[in-house]
Amino acid sequence: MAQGFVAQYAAEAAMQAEGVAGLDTSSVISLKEAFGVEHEGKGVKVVFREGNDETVAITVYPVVFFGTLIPEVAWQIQERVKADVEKYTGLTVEAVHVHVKGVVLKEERL
Amino acid sequence: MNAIIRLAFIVLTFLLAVFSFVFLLMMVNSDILSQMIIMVTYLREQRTYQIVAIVFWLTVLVLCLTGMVYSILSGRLRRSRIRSSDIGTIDIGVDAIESIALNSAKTAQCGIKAAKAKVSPAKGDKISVLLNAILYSDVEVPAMMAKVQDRVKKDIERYTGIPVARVVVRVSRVEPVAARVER
Repeated sequence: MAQGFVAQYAAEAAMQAEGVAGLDTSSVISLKEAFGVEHEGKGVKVVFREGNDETVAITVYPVVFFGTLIPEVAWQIQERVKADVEKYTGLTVEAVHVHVKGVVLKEERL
Repeated sequence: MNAIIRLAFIVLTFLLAVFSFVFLLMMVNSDILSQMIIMVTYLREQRTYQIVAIVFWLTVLVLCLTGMVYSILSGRLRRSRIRSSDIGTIDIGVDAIESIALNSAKTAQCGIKAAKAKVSPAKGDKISVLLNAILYSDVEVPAMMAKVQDRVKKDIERYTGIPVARVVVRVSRVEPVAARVER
């Protein structure tokens, strides 16, 4: 199962959570995009556990809206991502790490 | 760790002072310059002195590099891990905290025209916030800034759950209120 495939599900699930403005893409991926290489699942990092193709650890880099309680949004993201990825891919999600990258005001959508 | 790095800094600055003094003398007086060159070439030819000198300069180089890395990294909070639930960890990036501080300062309606926020670690898992602000000229600075401090502290604590040790507001400039043009 490809990483990008899992990452897409994770990204979609994270975007569903309340208070998430978008996902932050790292500069490396932006560079990759600039060169025309398509990258699936922006703002999500998927790591398979070594020697075990059925277990993944996912790191999500969201940007949230100003005025939301960040820990609660993060918990919501964790639960949604874990549930969705396990449901659609059948993999075991070992951990969902959330690293909040930024905060934006409501008006400016990413 | 801190004491070691302080000691390293002291040693480094002392060495730097000595060498700059010697170089200064060499620049001023050509006699000393030629003497020094003779001495250095003499030292270079002796095997033991050469090894000692190489080791010495390597240590200085390592000290310099550690000092540089430390002083670059120490100023900024890299990440603050608030808690780990049973699913995974939750990190709140420095940029996020800074932009919360900025947004809450700007929406406080205290006459802040522009601001820059910087977050640094404080004692006991807390953070301290430095706010560099440009104000409009019709602001009572002490009263309004007290309000801003209070608001920034409360907002960061509420939205991120990270305790704030202190909020320092530095008013860097005051700009005249732009003349309102009636149209």
